[in-house]
Amino acid sequence: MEIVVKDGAFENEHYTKKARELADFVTGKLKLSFDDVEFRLVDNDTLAEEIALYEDPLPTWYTGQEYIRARRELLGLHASLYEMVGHTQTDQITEKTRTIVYLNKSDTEAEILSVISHVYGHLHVQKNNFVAKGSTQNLSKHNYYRRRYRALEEIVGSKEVADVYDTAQTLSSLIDLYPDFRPDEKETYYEKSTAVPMKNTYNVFDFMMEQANMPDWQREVFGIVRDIYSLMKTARIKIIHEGFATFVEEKCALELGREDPKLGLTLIDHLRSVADPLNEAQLPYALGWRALKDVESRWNEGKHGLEYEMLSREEKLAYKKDEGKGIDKVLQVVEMDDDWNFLFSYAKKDFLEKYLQETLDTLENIYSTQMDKEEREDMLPNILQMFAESHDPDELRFELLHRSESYLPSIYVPAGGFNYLPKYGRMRGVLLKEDLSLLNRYVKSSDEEKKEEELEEVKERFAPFVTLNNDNTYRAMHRIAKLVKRPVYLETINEDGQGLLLLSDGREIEYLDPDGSR
Amino acid sequence: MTTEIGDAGDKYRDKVTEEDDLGLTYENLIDIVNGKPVIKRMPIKYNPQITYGYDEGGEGSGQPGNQPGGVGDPGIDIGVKRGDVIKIEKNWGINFTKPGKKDRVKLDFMVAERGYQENQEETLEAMLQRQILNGDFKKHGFKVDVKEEDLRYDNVEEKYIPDQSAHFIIIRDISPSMMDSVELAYQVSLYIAIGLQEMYQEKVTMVYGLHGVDAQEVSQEDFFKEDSNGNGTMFASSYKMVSAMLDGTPYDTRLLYPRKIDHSSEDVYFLHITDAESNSPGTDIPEVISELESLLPKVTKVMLLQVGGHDETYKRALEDLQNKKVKIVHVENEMSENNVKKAVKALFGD
Repeated sequence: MEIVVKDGAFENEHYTKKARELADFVTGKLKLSFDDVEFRLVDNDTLAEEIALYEDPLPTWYTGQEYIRARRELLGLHASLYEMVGHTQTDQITEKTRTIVYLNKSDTEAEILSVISHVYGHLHVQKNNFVAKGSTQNLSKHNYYRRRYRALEEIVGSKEVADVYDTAQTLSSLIDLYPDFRPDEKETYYEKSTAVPMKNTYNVFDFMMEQANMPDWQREVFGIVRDIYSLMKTARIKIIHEGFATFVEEKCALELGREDPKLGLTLIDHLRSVADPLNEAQLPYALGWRALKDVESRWNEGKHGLEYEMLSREEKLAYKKDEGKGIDKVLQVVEMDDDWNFLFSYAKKDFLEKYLQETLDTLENIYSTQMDKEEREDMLPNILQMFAESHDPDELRFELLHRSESYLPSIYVPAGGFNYLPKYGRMRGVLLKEDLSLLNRYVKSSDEEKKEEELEEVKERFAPFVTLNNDNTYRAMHRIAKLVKRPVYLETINEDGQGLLLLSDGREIEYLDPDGSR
Repeated sequence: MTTEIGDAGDKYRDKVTEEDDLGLTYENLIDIVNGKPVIKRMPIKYNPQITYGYDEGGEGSGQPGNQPGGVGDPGIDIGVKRGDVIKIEKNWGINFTKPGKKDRVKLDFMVAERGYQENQEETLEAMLQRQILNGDFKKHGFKVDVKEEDLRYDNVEEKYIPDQSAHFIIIRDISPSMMDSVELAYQVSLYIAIGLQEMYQEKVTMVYGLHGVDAQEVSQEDFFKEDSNGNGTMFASSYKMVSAMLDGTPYDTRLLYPRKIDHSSEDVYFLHITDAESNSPGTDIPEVISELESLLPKVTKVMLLQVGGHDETYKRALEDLQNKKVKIVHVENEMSENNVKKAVKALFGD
């Protein structure tokens, strides 16, 4: 493993030494593992550019927007603690791959150290987590894509290429994001049906691309966009990613604080601003970090398993069994779980109540004299406020997963859906269906009959969040209809939990009952 | 800096002005102009995608309670451009000259090629600012390295800066008969608020209040969301509340602290939105008039917007005062451009 910090073309010896010391600590004591890293100290402009190119490596209007936005954010000093873990790069001579990480040149030493330790956490997740493993991007590939995009612009015209790019971006959330959520369906050699498609197709992007009639250069743009946006798959480990990175950051801060307590305190101070429990946007950091810490302490003290769970509340508090398996368990969680599993398995009600109480205590420390309890509760992030009212962990998990954009809707084309005609319908079109099987998670009973009833209740409860009945969706449907040149049906539920069939002819939207009547 | 990004920034700028089926929102970002942080609204476009969620009450601007703006922003919807509203109002023949005292003149240095004599002190300061911002100063210390963008010239430009700020107090009647007029109230107050901001160069503080029998100061969000309470209607209470704000005496508020408005150094605008159906006009209206007479010397303008309703006692009582500071208009309870135009012109125009 090779670690280097570069300032321009030269190595920055001071930071390289510090980064290597930190790496020794995290790989030794915390048992992290990752490949070669190159940190680059860059100015605001370059950092903004790298952030934009990470979002989308093509020279499109969207990248321009991200660039201007990032530049203004950095300039306005919104984000002095900003790191940017880039893609991997292959060295052409040694053929070694390394990850490039961009650091802000104008940060202080303490800021750079906390960012470096934070990055080590990210790199470990990137190398070991089962979701992240499957989706990596390479800088040389992106350079090639950029060249091709520019060439196409010259041959066909910028406007034309941009239009195709826009359509592809609309479809980009419809690549198969959760292949592990359902059993594999295999086509058999002796398949008799000739319906299009032959089985439920979850990769709607590819399916539409096959069915649409378009010239080869457009297909190429679609292919590029699909490859770039396959990175979206890692959105579903956002809480683990940020939680674990913050976890490592804290460990490093404590380690550095042993020799230099002042530095340690500064680092902890930075950590507080990153994992600010009162800021809704930072909730994945704060809650993920606390949940991992909770796992660590429970497995260190042996507070898990059937034997422990059966104890009474008082006995639980007094229980202690020195196991020392904390860090191993945390690493196992980070490797094997996605956000969904993580929150359901480890953010139990006890933990969430404790977390809520801690946040309220923090507020009490700050505002003890000015505010009473209710006013303090009003200052909590919305998600926690809801939890403080309902004390329902499912609701909090659901909100957290959806608001942190960890989970995008799962859409599929059912078998034979390309020539779909509803019972009372007038025209044939493509049928898209919303996969609501994620909601099964909230059904608790094991009795088959009760299960269905409960599923209906769950649907009704979460309907306002999982319905696709919104303007953004309508416009996306119009685009798909224009692409495949036929009407598009979308089966979803409305905000009250009843079935709803949307029909787009490319211009207008119609609301139908699931059987096609209105 | 590498040049991988190419002309992507220009493509974005073109895209913003282009008409297409893309979504549009705005983001407040801090920019630094002459070393001072300035908030700029950046339009963000996005391609439509199949997403979770549903639209409450459909799309478009003007929906009450739909994404209220940030702190200090007078409830401008995402999607409404302030510049557009100003343009519309100018088309209606409203001019934005500020009443009251004259503006102070400030001489401001101009940053442009048009200048003729370089001002070295300013130039060095600009250079230093740039070095601090991009981090060079921290790394290399002070170094004289003047670039073209740092040059400042002695050519001066006269700039008017307002020496006064303003308070805009809106009090809405929440009797049951006013239930359907929320949207009209929202639109009219929005147009006047934006107009005032143009006049006072954004130094306008918004104050919201609701009244049934009693008046209460509320937050912006509550102002647009609150339903009727069905307790009846009296007008005098709201005038008393405004007086209390100006005098610094206690009044009923849902906010953390009651406010005290210094009317000697600030302009105060008061808009009352009601259907003018008081429970006991016989005692209420005279009380209003006596309150108003003591209030008038302290405020810049009192506006009454009567939405619907047939009772004209209140309106006539105010008209009888024959004071130029009091503006009155009676519009039908119907949300239309004409109605908004009529109301805004009568209340806010000259």
